[in-house]
Amino acid sequence: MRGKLERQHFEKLLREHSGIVFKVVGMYAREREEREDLAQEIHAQCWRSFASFDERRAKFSTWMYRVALNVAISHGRRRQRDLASHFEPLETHHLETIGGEAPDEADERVAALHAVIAQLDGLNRALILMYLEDRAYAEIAEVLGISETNVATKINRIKHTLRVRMLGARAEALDETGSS
Amino acid sequence: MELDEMKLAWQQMNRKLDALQTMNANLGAERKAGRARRTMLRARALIWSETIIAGLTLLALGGFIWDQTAMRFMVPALILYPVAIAVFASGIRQLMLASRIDFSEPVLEIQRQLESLRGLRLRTTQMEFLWMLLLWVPVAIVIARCVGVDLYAAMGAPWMAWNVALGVAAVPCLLWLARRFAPAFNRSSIGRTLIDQLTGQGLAATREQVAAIARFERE
Repeated sequence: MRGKLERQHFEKLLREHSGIVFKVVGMYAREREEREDLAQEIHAQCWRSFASFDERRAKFSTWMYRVALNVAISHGRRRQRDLASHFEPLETHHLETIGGEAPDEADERVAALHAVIAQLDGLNRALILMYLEDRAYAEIAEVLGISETNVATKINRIKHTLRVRMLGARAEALDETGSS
Repeated sequence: MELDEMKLAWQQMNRKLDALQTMNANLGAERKAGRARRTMLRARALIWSETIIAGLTLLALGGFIWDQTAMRFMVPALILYPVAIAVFASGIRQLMLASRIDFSEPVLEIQRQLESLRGLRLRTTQMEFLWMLLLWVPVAIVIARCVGVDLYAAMGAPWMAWNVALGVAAVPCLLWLARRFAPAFNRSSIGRTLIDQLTGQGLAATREQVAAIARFERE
């Protein structure tokens, strides 16, 4: 049986890094109940895998990203059809819970961000999440199991795709303004 | 909006999420963690129970074949035996694959292992279902014999021939129906899983995902 001390140590680390779970969940699950389920699944899997955590080999955050992303991608695969058809931004859904704020420019940016995220597959979502979280390329590579060069290439490619998409959207908006 | 600009949006969202996280302790706490653990245990228990049932069937079939002197009872059991071996072997392989999966390993490696397990599981279920349709007459002969009924004498050869033919014809019909009425089944997750397994759509999705992982690694 695993000791009480180990459990306490685990819970302390989990509390310190709970933001990782929260962000991964927000990136991969859409409805409130699904988010709760996914968060619990991640917590449970973290505990089950905790025996394999070796702080000499990896930081706890790196280890936790791996577990959380593996669970989330796997969970997303089970609900792939639902996700493909509809992705509800985390913030929009939860704003009601925190009092409801009027949408401003920044909210529009967040909405645009979610629109981009919704178009990415599970692996690219993992990549973009870690990039947005300002993680070093080396850590992203370590979590995903690809080379640093590959990380840099993919991020550049996503940047390029976004630029093209945004230019296309602006051109469309200009066309619409011109015709009306 | 550029990706770097999105970082600003992300940070802004994070500030709100931090506030939300403090208010909504449900996600942080392990309020219903027991449910998630139970789901995981159930999935593993399912593979274990299927493997144990396949093992017991294998033993029972072996005993049945050993006891028979009449070829008309031995042959149906001999037809079923390789199928039982295949199901049992698949169960053992699934258990081995599942035991090797460590979620703290790099994402790409684990996703590949999970897809491999998922593919094996889908192939096994599809095989079990289709073989059961084709082989239900030998199954009925063996089961009836076990309870002391001679199905050949009770039902007659024409009945059996018709039922074998019916089983063969049922496979393409069922596959057609499954594809034709897939949208209706998609409304429930159980129905969707059943259709995916039956028509091989789930297997195709698994292959697609393996290819996506390979592409992600290569590019």
